[in-house]
This record gives sequence, structure tokens and C-alpha cells, in this order.
Amino acid sequence: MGANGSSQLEKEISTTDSVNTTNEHYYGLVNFGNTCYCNSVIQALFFCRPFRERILNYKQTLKKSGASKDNLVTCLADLFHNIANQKRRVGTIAPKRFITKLKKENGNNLFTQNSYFQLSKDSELFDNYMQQDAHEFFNYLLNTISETLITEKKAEREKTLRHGTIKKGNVTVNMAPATAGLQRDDKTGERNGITVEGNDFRNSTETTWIHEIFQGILTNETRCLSCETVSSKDENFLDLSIDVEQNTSITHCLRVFSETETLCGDQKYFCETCSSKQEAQKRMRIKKPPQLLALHLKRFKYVDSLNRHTKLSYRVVFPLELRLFNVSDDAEHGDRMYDLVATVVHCGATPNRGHYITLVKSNSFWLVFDDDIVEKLDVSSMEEFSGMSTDANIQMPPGNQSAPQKNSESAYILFYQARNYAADNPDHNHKSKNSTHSV
Amino acid sequence: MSSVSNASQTGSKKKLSFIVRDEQEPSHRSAVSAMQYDAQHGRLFTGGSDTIIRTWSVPQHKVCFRIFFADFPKNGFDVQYFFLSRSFYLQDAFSARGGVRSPGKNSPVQYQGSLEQHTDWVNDMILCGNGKILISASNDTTVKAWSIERDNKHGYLDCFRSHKDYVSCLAYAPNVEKVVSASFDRNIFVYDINANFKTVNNLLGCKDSIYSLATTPNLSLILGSGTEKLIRIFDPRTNEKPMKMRGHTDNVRALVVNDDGTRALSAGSDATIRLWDIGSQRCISTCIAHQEGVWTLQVDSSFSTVYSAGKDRWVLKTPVNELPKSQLLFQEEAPVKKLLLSEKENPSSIWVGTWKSHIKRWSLRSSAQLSIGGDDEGPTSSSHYSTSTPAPSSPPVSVSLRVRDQKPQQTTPELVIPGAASINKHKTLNDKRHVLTRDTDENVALYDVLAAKKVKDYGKRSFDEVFDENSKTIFIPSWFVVDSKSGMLQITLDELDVFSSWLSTKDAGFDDNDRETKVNYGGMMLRSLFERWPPCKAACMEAGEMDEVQKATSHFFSLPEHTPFIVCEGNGRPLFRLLVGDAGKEFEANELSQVVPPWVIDAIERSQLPKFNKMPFYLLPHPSTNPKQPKKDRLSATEMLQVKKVMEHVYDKVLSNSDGLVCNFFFKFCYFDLFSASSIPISQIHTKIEMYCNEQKLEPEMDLRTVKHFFWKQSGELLLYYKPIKN
Repeated sequence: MGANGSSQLEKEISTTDSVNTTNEHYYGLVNFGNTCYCNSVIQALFFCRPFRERILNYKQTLKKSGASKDNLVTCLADLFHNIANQKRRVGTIAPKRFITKLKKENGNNLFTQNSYFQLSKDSELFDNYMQQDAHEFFNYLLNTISETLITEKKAEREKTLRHGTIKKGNVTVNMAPATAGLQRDDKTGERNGITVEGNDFRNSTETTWIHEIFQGILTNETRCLSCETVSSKDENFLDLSIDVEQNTSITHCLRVFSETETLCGDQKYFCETCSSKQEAQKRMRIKKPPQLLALHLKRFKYVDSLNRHTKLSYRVVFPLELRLFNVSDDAEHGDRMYDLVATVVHCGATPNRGHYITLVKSNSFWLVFDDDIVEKLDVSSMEEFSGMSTDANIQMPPGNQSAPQKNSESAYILFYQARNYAADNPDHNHKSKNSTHSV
Repeated sequence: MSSVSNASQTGSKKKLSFIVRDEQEPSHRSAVSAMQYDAQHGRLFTGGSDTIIRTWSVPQHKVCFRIFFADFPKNGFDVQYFFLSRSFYLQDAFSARGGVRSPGKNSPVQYQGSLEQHTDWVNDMILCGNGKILISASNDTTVKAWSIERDNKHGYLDCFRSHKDYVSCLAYAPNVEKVVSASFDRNIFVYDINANFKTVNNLLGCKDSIYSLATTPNLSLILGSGTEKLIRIFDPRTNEKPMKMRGHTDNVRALVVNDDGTRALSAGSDATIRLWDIGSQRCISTCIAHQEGVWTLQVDSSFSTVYSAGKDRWVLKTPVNELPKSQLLFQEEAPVKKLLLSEKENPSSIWVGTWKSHIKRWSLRSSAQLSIGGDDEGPTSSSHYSTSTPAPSSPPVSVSLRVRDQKPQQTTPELVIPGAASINKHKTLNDKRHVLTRDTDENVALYDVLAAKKVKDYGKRSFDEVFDENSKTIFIPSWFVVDSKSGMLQITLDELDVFSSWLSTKDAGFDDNDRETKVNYGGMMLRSLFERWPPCKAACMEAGEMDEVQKATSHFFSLPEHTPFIVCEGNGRPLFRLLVGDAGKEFEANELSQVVPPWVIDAIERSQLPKFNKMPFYLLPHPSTNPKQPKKDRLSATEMLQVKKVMEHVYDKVLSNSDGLVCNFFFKFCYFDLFSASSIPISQIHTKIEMYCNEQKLEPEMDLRTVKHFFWKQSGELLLYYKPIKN
């Protein structure tokens, strides 16, 4: 079945002229039993060009240095390398090494159903439990990669110190890409007086290319209503988790995300200027839009009355082109235009059961990656993945199965890439003019 | 009905607080946000962040001028400029004799007295009943009424507790003698002054905190607005659904309405002033001259000129029918919280209250009439002007000129009521008894919380430096919370941690030799506060022989009698305020019995204090001693156990039992003294044993909680390592 699908796809893409100019590979990933959450995220990241290039670059650097390492990053690099260097344009591949490594690094809890929702409540630790949730996996993957890179960077630095000047030339070559990125980030940080207070990297202010690609800055502005003094605090993010509402759009959800909240009643704010508790207004805005904006729709919500998580299949329209309006007045690249490049879709009516697939844009057309099956997708049918416009399965839980399965296929993680991002010239976007927007 | 159930719910969470201050506080200590002026009696009322309402006698203008000419040589008079700290004040000419900060006997403005019952910022005041009644609104959630007497023996009349949140603003309808109050709780209440302040109406409809309020003289309309941004117009006679006027894009902080209720002016955080036609509910015109939030408005009686000020410190004068034509009158030194015209009809001057504690009066007449220099007069030059010489009249302000390009028409106020400094930084010392403060004049001072008074002035020194000088390596748990919202120190005690500070009388500095008797700061503090309260006195008399608990509080200090002392609910709403010295008076004693929380009764009447806190820790041989089988002994002792006692335990029990007999250590520590008959005096124990925590050697005098705080520095149970010293 998978092979038939592949050959069908091969025919389809060979008729598209533009594809022939690029050497893109479309490979389905074999499901090792409940690993669709993992496959879907890997496919999405593979088609996030900046990410793929960095991963492949990592593989090359590793090869050059001759070091033999075995960790999750090298496994992912090998997988990407494998796909990119296949002879056939389409086919299937088994990400066996990667999955095995993932299992090994996370104990054997990979298949424990429900583990995410039960454990995440009790322990904030990410350590030993692997989640069924694609977003949790995405976070885990980014964190693991950046931690690995930081550790390697530190080791490299120590090596430099130890060997002194003797091996200097060799080492600088190896370190070049990473260090260049770091320095540039530090400079931007200094210029804006940013205090690095990352959520995911509390213990280290080191940045890697993961941060270069995904990291943006949120600014949390609080204005005392008595003295009208504004105090703001910056916060780094790798992805934005936004609340969803029925029959709305991403733009609306982002506006709600940045809506002004009044701290009043018992929640008054202690104002340093007033030396007392006063009413205050608070809002979150984006100060630095990232190169690759990962938007996580909070579709899995804990419902007290049901005592469990339910899925909000709300219809939330996502645009193929996005401009952020919730940027702060002093934001850099505030007018950035984003293009949708990949979408992880959750299928199913509950968080614990269901399936993940990925929609990907490659060149001029869209594709669906459903584990090992890859199919072309008409742009007009993209809207089917917005969610359901009726609350049927919310109002009649949990036995109601009448809702058509197809409609509960709803976008879960959206990957938007900044339009002016030039893969071969990361400095390109710095030339774009600063501009201001208000929410 | 709900207030009753609320009170009982919060009963267990009641707090006590007191304020450290001077007996007389004749100057404002912080921002001035409320003012009322009684022109007939030349009396000014001011209130603000320091919670105290003050009354001042102010000479009326006409009188003032008569004295002027009687007192000064005919050839003119001197106008002198004084350099006072960082700013200039022009005092009235006849008081211009020295740079005294508080108004002296010769000052035209005399401090008359204070009205002290509020426990948080005073936000607004209304003078009503022919100048005989003053109504005030405060962040303490109450509205209070005061009787104003000719002989200045003003009295406290009543307190209204209907509001559940900060009361932000008041309005007055003089024709019907009714006062209106509005609050962050979204409620508007109307009080009838002639009917013993009975609440005659409760207007609902605002969906957010109310920051501004206005009414017509006959109470035909009430306007309210705030963070909702839209202005609601209530008709108090029909109580119908209020009309709305939309236009502001941010919090509306000031409202005025004309006498017949046809026009209104509003201003707010969006930096605009808007004129509204109430009949059509439309905004007619907008003034965008201000750069930042506009917080206060005043309009003359003919509703033809509006005076405005706010965060940008500018005071503007704008014709109501030509809002774009604003004139810059003068610039204040701090954001302006309140403007008040000295008279509504043809106003000659305006009072200004700002974030700073000084109150100023600026002339509104063209500068020539008062001869206070022309516009080109620099503030640093002192010069002679003669009344006979016509001073240059202020140049007509060009309509097209933007406010920021205009020269202020005045550069110096005609009158200044100097304020005092307020505390704007504070930090509790490690001894958990002293608080170091810095005030707005940069002076650093040290306060003793137990005695409720200032103990040392350090002058203008570096706060951190003085703090470090006074720091000791000792850890004592916190037992009070400090705040300085009123510009003075306020100490708050609550049930959760008030008794947590046990320490030995030696550490507390009461007895250099006594390490065994423990004192409890919180218990002492309660003794001090309730010293004159009869039930507390009785409890003290009864006890003949002092038991341990009484010893723990016996070192308490007698507090200054004028110290205000407040019983409040868990959320800070005050229940009763009294002076420490008045707790023995019949009325206050009874009131106090009604509100005093049970945890206070337990401590002062029944002499019950919580037991010492126990702390578990592990005792291990130091790794350098190469123990064959390192044994981890889990022990438990009071937090105040000194390291040398642990050493003694190691010496006597652990090392002597080399076979590692582990008996009930908890038992041992409870009866530690029984075992202290060791072969070596405890003062010499450190010559036999060394103790380590986190690889740092411990002093024998330290107690366990100090070790945990300064050396262990982490959660989890403390690990102590012992190492015998080999001779």
C-alpha cells in the first residue's frame, strides 16, 4: 500500500516542473507502534529549511572531525542525511536508530499511555518519561539538541584551553559556525539591554543555532494605574502556546494572547514607585519575532468536571501567510511576514487516543505525511484541518462517536518561517528595517 | 449580611499593624492627592499618601494684600528666592526671613491640626454642610466623616464601610447636601448629609474599577468612569440603565460636569481632555496638549476655562470652547495629583498637590499684578521689583504654538507649604529587629521595631554600606512585614509567622550570659502593643512566678503612646484603629475586645506561645577521617541548638561508642542538659572536635538555623560532618 502510494506520488511530482529544479526528497517514516507523534514532528522539522540545514551541517562537521558520537542529535542527523541522500525521490524509511535511541534515553516509558497527563501534573521534571504529545516531544527535542550543542561547545572550549596554541588552527575551524552564531546573538542582546531569562535554559545563558532559529523574545509590560509607570520584563521563548476559541483565527488567538489583563481586587500589583499595592494592567507582546515561529495551539485542556484532559477541536483558521500584530513598539523586525511551512495535525477526539500527521509545504505544493504514507494535498483542502465549527464532541463527551472522524483533524503545531530568512545568508534579515506596530 | 459572614471567615486571618512616627506630624510625608479650600474661613484641607488629613489656616488674598502694604516700605517690597535643598521656594513676602522648612510662626500658612483615622492613602475629600463637615475617601476602603469646628477641635463623626475596595473618588451636590462616593469595587453610593449620612442610593452598572466621578449641584446626574474607558451617566432619580459616552482609549481619571448637566469634561491616561455634549452623548472636541496621562481637572464657575495637570507635570489652562488652544501656566517638579482653584469665580490662584509632599499655590493672575518677575526672569537671580513699576505683562500666547514650545507664564509659586521627607527604601537587618531606611532626602536611618522608634540617624550615606556595617552572621526567622506606603514605617504582624522568631536572651542582647532562656520577638511585640489593655494587664498581674513563656516576653518595651495601632482583616481592610496609649480607655478597650484575633489572646492573656521549631539534620564523620563505614545518624533538635552542643554530643556519645551504638538520639536532645556533665567543659569542646558543613568550618557559637542559612544554603536536610582533633 505504501509503495503504491509512493509511486503514485512520484508520478504526480514528476509532472510538476518546478520540482525538477530542486532535489527534494519525500520519504514516509515507518511507525514503530504509537510513534506517530515523533514521526510527525520530525517531518515538520525536516521541512523547516533552516533547521534541516543546521542538522545536516552538524552531520558534516562531525564527519570531518572524525569523532564518533552517538546521541539523539547524531541519530537525527543520520536520519536526515539518509533521507536527503536517497536515490529515489520518494519512498519510506524506518527511523529505527532514532526511535531506539529515544527509547533508551527516556527509559522504556515510551509507550505508557496517559503518562504525560498524569505525570506532568505531579512532576515538572522532563527526565524519565516520554510523552505521547507531539508538542511535548517537540520541546524535548529542541531542548535535547541545544543541551547537546552546549555541552559540545564547552568541551571544545576546554580542549582549546588544554591544547593551547598547538592545535589552535584545527579547533577554530571546527568551532567557527557555532561561535559565529553565539557572538551575533550576544551583540543583539547587549544592544537591547536584554536580560536573558530563558524558560528552557535557566541554568545557562549560552545560545545555539536552535535559539538562532526558534528563539524570540516576549516582553511582559506592567503599568501601574495609579502612577502610570510601566515596568517591563523580557522572556525568551522557543515556541508560543496560545489558547484557542471556537470559530476564530490564529490572528484572533494571538490578539487574545496579548490582551491587556487588569490586576485588581485581591490580585493588585505591588508598585515600586507607589510603595503600595495598586491596580495595574499587564500585557505580553512579542519584542523579537523569531526566524521560525512555532505556534502551539492549546487544544488539550484539563476539564475539572470530567477530571481529565479533553480535546478542543475548535475551528481555528490558520493563514498561509501571517503578519504579527502583537509586537511591542520597540520590536526588531516587527513587520516580518511569515509563511506557513509545516503543520502538525492531531486526529481524533481525545488527547490520549488519536493520530498525528504532518502537512508540509515544499516548493509550490503541499504534501501530507501520514507515517509511511506520503500524498499530495490540494491547497484548497488545507482548511479541512482548521477544526470543527460545532462543539458536538465537547458537549457530548465521552461516548459520542457520531462526529465524523475527519473533522477532528485539527492543526496542533504550526511552523511559520519568516519570509526574509535566507538560508545561506543568516545575516540577510538583519538588513531589513525596523518598524513598529501596535496590537 | 455578607459583611458579617466575611468577617467571621477572615477572623482567623486578621492582622495587626502599627506605624512608627512622631507624635506630631505637622507636614505631609508623601504625595498630596486631595485638597479642599474653605475661602470663607481661609482654611485649607489636605490629604494624601501619608493617611493624615491636615488643616491649615491660609490668609485670604485681600487680607494678604493689606498686610502687604502695611508691613513694607512704600518704595516697594522684596521678593526673595530661597535655595531650599534641591528646589526653590518663593514664600509669601512677609514670611521671607529664613529658609525654614516647616512653616514658622511668621508663615502665612499655619498648621492647625490633623485628622487621623485613615490607615491608607487618602484619595479625595469633600467639604460640605457649610464648611462644617469634611468627607474623605481612602484606599483603606472606608469613607469617613469629620466635624470641622471653628476652634480647630475637629472631631471624627462616622465611618462608612460599604465599599469593598479602594475608594477612589467623591463628588458633591451642594443644593441637596448629598455626597457621592465611588470605588474600585464598581459601586457608587450616595449619602445624605442632612440625614445623618444615610446611604440613600447605590448605583450599579460600572463594569470596571471607577477612577473618576462628577455630579451636578442638584444631583440630577452622576457621571462615573475608570478603566472601562467609557463614561456612564446615571440618573439617580430614576435609577434607569445609565447612558454611555465612548471616546477615551484608556483609563478615565478626571470628570467635571457643568451645573445644568449639559456638558462634561473628562481626562485620562490617554493624555486627552474631552468635551462632551451629554444630550447627544457625543464628544464635541478634544485637547491633545498633554504628553502623558491627565489626572486632575478644575473648571471655573462659568464652565469657560479648564485647568488640567497630570503625569507630565504641566499645568495647562484651556478655554472650554476652544480646547486646542492650551496655555502652559507653569511646570511642577513632580507629577501632579490634584489641582484646586482657590475660588471658582474668577480664580486668582490654584493649589497644586504632587507626588512630593510640598503643597504649592500658584498665581493665575498675569504676573504683573503680583510683580513676580516676567517670563524672562531666570529662577536663580534674585532681584528687586517695585509695585510702582509696571512689570512686563506676559506676552500673548500664540494660538498656534505647541505647549512644549511655550514658555511657562509662571516660574515660581506664590506660596509653598513645605512637606517632609518620606521613606522610600527599607530593608530588615539580619537581627530581625532593626530596619534600615532611606528617605526622599537621601537620609539613612535605623529603626528599632520592638521599641517602635528611630534609634539612629546616619545622614546622607550609602544605604548598602550602612546595611553591611550593621549585618551580623546570624539567622533569625522573619516575624513581621514592613511597608512604607504612607512614607512612614508600618509593621504588620500576622498569625502565620509572628511567633517564629525564638532566640536566646544573649543573641537578643538582653543578657550576655544567658544562653538558655529564650525570648520570642513576636510575643514581646504583642505585649508592647497591648501593654495598656486591661485583659493583658490582668494577665501580667496574676502570674506570680514567671514561667518560661512569660520569660520569653518579659523583655518587652513600652511603646510611645502616640503609636497608631490597627487591627485589620487578612486583605488589609482595617477593622479598628487606636493609639497604643488609648488601649486602656474604656471605649477603645471594649472595641478592641470585639476585634482582637484569637492568636493574640492566646499569647498575651493565656501566655501560650508555639513551641520551638525542630530541625532534622544528619551527623556524619568527616571524609578526611577515612571512616570505614560512614554511618549517617539522623537527629532532630531545636533550630537554636548551638554547634558546640552538637560537638559535645559527638564527643560524649558518638566517639565514645566506637562500636556505633545508635540509641534514641531524639530523646537525648530533648534532655540534652542531663548529658552535659561531660568530661570536658563545654567551653573547651571546640579544642576536641571540629564541625564542618559544606567543607566550611563552623564556629561553636553558631546555632543550627544559622548554619543552614549561611553554609548549607539549600533545601533538604542539613548534613554536618565532625572531625576529632588529634593532640
